[in-house]
Amino acid sequence: MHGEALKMLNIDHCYVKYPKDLYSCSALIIPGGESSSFSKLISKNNLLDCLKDFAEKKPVFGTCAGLIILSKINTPLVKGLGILDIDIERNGWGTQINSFKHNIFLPDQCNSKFNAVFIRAPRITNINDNNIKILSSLNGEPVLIQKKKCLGATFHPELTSNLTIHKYFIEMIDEKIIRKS
Amino acid sequence: MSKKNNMDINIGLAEMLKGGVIMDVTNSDQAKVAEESGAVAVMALERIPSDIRRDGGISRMSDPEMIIDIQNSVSIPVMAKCRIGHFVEAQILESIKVDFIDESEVLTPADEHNHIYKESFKVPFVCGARNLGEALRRIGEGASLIRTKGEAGSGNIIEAVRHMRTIINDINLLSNLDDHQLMAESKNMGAPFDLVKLVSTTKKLPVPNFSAGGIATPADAALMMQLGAESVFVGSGIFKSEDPINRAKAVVEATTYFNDPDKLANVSTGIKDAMSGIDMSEIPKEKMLQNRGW
Repeated sequence: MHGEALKMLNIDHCYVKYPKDLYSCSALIIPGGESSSFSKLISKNNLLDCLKDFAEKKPVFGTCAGLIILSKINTPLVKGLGILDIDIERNGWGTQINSFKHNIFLPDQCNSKFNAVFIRAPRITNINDNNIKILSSLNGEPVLIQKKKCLGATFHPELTSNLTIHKYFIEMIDEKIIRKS
Repeated sequence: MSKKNNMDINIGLAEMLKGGVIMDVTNSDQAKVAEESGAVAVMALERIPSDIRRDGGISRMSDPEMIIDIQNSVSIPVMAKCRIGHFVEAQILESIKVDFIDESEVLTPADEHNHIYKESFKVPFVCGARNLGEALRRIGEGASLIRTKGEAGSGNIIEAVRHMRTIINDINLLSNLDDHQLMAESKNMGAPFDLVKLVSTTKKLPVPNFSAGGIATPADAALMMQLGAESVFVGSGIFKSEDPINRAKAVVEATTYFNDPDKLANVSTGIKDAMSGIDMSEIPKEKMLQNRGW
């Protein structure tokens, strides 16, 4: 689904399954899914160190489970990359029946509303790093955060046709780097 | 809130399960094994399909206590099955907040004409299909996810392949028709006209399409993915094998790296025997689970 958003923005993309796939990328999106499943595959296929290394140099965007992977979470089931020092709770709202859509406000990106889709979404319970900016909140809880070139959302911007957040992320890519898939 | 308002959220959850493996489990220990092996969801049921096939009798929705026990033991989505047409079982499953309901041919049908009107529920439904007409009827009723039926509990991949190829062929056929032919084809396949029209332009189902029914090995999972499945359900294949943990892990890796023969060779090596499996000629037509559903 992120791929379709990128296609609309004329940005080439590929799927990263091996460390070598990262060499040709200017930026990385870690999508939603199940963080426990991601974590298993990341560690089993030697992706942990090269993802950390990539995130230090280039823009990375984690959505939902992708944000959990960017965090410092360290449980028997999920080991995060430790890029964003936040406390995060998996399935913070409950099961699928508690999934919801809600308008959030994006003051700096477009000064307008964004219809955010929260699916078995995580909750950011604490931010432990002053360098992390809160770009948007819902009822006082952060839902879109940024630290330098690292962006994280607890919701799914790829499931709505509004491309504002993807555009904002793409603008973080250094223009000197050639974009290719 | 009616299901209609929730359709995009529910299809959204199905989207998030893409590229993964959903495993049948009968207790919390098996659910934990599935989660630790990298499953993206579990299907809670009292007896796995191969045991249902062996034991016979009526098979029904599982005891809510067992489903709740599984919900409490894992962090990944928990799905559960209700009988075809049994909307009260579905109401109960919605009440205990399962993440997905499978209106499943594996259980004994409760209604020989009607499936559940799934749009009246907030919780998402997955349904089985053997061809495009059946898939679109279920989507018309409100299913958020389709899985090809295969033949559950057989350990034999042939029916899963047949159903996946049939759906893809049906879609290709539809996309080659001109607008004047769509109503006749809608009548022919017994599918809602608006969905027939939609598929003829988009050339894909409006919801994700997974595969189920007969997947027993990592190679089976990769075969279904290469044929176009977006995820796989593995039922009896894991916990009826000799080494469930390692088989579960291998199937997960094979589903992710379905296009990489070296990786597939590697994960297929050294896992103990798969479930034994049944040839289709040994299953009389009236015992075929796939023929349940209308």
